[in-house]
Amino acid sequence: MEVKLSRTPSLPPREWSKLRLERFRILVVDDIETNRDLLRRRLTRLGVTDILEAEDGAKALDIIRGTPLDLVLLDIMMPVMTGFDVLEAMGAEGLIERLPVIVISAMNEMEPTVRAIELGAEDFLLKPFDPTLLRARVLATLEKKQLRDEMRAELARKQAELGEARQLQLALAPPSFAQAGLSIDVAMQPAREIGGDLADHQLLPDGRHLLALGDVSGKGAGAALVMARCHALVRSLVGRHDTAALLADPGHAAAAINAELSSNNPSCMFVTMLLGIYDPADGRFDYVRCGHVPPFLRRASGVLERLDTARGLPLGIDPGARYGAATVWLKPGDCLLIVSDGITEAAMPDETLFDDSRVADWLATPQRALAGLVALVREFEAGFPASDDLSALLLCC
Amino acid sequence: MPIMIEELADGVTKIVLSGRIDVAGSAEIDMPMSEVGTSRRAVIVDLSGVTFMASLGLRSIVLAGKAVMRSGGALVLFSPQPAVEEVITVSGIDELFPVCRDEASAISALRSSPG
Repeated sequence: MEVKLSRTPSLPPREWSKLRLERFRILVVDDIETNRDLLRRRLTRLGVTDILEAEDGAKALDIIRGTPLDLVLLDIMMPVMTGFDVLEAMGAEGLIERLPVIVISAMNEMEPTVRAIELGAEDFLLKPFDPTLLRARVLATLEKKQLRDEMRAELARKQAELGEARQLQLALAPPSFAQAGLSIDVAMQPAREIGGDLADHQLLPDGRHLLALGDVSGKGAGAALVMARCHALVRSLVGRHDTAALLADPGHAAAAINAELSSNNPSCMFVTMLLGIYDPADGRFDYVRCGHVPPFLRRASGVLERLDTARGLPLGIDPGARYGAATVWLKPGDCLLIVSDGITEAAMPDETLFDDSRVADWLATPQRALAGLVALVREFEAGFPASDDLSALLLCC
Repeated sequence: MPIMIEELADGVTKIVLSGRIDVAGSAEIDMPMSEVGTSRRAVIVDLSGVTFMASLGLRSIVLAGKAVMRSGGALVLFSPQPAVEEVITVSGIDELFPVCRDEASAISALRSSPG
């Protein structure tokens, strides 16, 4: 029974007016008809128009399973199926996370109320109903539900956007390449949805191969944008009026990309890059190392070399930086591996690094595909989330 | 705190970095580094306590160093552990900023730097 009918709920200090109450659907579960009527009247007075009723737990559960709801007002002691059974079933079916429940119990039932809260009920109301408390708790619960729904929707939207961005970014990595006497494999795995590593391979019109592996000093969306910009700059080396000069020497190509990246780069997001041009006709590989990890070269004989000359500043720091290229000659059976520090600095849970030595060990055995190296790095991390983007290029003659 | 800032004699500012300057570490040093970069003209950076340096940390140093150099000053790094020194040399950052053995040589390198 309601005892304080005469009291008019005064406006709470919160601004509830933003809640569009007519959009919510509330289920009232109580075995006593007069209680249901009373609650319906109270809710209607608040502005809720869409109200469903059930007289026991079993019927309530049917409605909960089959109808979109925003709130359940649930009596505990009912025939057929109690409020506890309803809460347990909702918990087991994962419904309680999305649908708030306010349990209704008699004044002398504090213990069952606590149990109901433990089973996942959001709040409770005591009979007889106090209109102010009813109003405050229903509105607060609905507001929370609405915020959670909005958050979930926002998260889903962002997730979808990032997923799309990821697909677009992964599509920038070229497919593996194979022809008689030459195979080029590419691996690129952002640590988050999108990342700042770039791996590219282009077959040039003159039959040479342009290789680029870059690492933006940053993470996430900002790094991904710089990465896409770099990718476009590398791609645009072909088809310019000065293409012949730029591709005659990767140092010139690096300088051109650097000049572009250094202008308007107030946040100084720089890019380390290995830029190389391989000529399968004579095995000549010209490269420049713009702040990038030195590539690994395993000779057919098994001897391991590091291409640690041709060093320059990372791209994007100094518009006037100069880049001098170096040359190595590759012979049949040689394998050249270019990696980002996402591989060498991949870490075990105890912060031990994967390191150059493990990369060298992997390369010591005959390899043509990078999947094995990536798997090895992931195994090394032992489920520890990768902290950096990972990318690699493997060229085998 | 992975960063401490000390004012030495003759207008020299010493930045002491420590621990892992990874994604989290660089987020902590970014602001103070850029503040020093834009307000000081003679800066030495003590790297002896740094155990790991990610490229984001280098970026923080480069940003501060470039700001110092724009105002005609100089920034000098000193006492990196071998692994950190390797990161610095591999990245070529040592072309921008001298890397010294200890604090005394870092201060004298400041004196001989242009500006």
